[in-house]
Amino acid sequence: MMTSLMTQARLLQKYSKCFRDIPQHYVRNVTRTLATHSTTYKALVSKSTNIHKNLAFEQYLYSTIDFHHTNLLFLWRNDPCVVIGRHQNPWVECNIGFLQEHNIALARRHSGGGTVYHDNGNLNCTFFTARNGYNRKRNLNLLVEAITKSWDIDLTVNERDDIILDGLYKISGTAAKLDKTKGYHHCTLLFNVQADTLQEALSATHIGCKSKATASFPARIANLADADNTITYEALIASVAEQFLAQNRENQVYSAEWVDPGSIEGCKDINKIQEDLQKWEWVFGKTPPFHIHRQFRKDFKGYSSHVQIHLDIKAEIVCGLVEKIQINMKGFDSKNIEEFIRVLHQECIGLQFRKHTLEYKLNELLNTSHMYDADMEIGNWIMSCILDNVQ
Amino acid sequence: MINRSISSTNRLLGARVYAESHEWVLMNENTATVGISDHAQGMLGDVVFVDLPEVGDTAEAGNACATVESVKAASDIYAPVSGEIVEVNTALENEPSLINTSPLDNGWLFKVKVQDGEQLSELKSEDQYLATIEDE
Repeated sequence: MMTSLMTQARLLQKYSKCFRDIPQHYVRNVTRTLATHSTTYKALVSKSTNIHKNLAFEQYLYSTIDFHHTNLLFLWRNDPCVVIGRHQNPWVECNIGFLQEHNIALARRHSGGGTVYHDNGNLNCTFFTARNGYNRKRNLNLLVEAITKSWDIDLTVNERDDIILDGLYKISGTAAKLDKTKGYHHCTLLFNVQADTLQEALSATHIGCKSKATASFPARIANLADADNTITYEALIASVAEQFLAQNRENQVYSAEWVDPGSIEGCKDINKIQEDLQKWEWVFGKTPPFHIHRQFRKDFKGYSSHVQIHLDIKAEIVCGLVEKIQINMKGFDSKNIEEFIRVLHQECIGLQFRKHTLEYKLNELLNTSHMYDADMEIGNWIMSCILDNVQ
Repeated sequence: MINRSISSTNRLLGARVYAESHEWVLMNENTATVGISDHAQGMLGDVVFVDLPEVGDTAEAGNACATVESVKAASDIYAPVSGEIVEVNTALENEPSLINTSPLDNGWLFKVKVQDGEQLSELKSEDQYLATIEDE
């Protein structure tokens, strides 16, 4: 079916070129005739479980297919990952350190909305339509109907376009991307995710951060399998696809097609989109500007006298890069430390707000600072306070 | 011919002209201020974030050059005319909801130094635009 969709896209492209040479009134007549054709509903399931590959495939389908007469449902799932919305701040939305420790991927999608955790216990459903066919409530009701037809459970759609189990627990979150001719609505369906990993991955440790980025709306979640353990990936796909494809006319019988985005005709284009989605400049660099303001205090003993040092750290991050960093220290006088801080203010500008980048630079500054003993101990503490902001 | 004379008059009078994709343009000498229509903001719902182009970027008429996020949807905004972006509405960074409360004035998006004034004649007068959205 992939081939036929691609052929269709190419034909439409070819015809639209031809139309320029044909008298306009003729084009209008042809278009009107085409418009009377009813919509065809098709369903694809991705064989990939890589978040960046699947997001790239989704973007590829969106940009290459004409959805005037085709409504496409794309079903996919991923290995453990966190996916943030188009205008979100990953430093605020998730525990980046936890993700790195547990090999959980981080991705930024093109659609709006909040942060979600995916793993193999979550089914993603993307509904592609023409702009005037975009209707999130209809899509969500279709999912609820598909599931409740197969399993006796209580599901409702709330005013935030979440699907709620037993009137209490969120099992699905929604986001969308729209342009002037088409759009897509995608949503998660949690059927058996690792709830404790989800909680840890989405519990940001960040404090003292001010951001204008889109904020997530935390919710109590549950799995569909908590209500009925016969709800599995394959069973869920079968019931959702059947409900979606039943919208076709009787003489058009389609079944969901399993596709490997790595081996189809457009795989090179998909790889290119995937590369862009994986770039640090997209995942972190696309974050709206934000400020950090933190204060630290520590007692240092064993010097000529007991000292308590106060540290005030302010930073401005633009496009994921340090735009400005300002450190004020009180409680200890040292020309060497003052010099270290002065150099640090200059040298950190323009660096990626990233733990290993800052750690490397700060170590370099410490090693070339001529600080020893007490100065060095305090210098190391200043470094750990700065790195504490990066996760 | 009639359409063209209407848009010329609109330009002289400083009236807004509209693109089919729901952006408005207000000319002041050769600078076009661009925003989205009241109808468009109503369709979007509560705006929570606006991703604007950078001053110095080049906008191409008909191409997406900004993104507005509302109720979980990221929607593309198109440049109605081509030219260099000379100013963006920084007030939207702190108050994106200005697009909802004042779409035609305080909620403007960006200003373009227009290269080709002829592109304006492709845009609709307010009456023509309002007539098209009634058809939707």
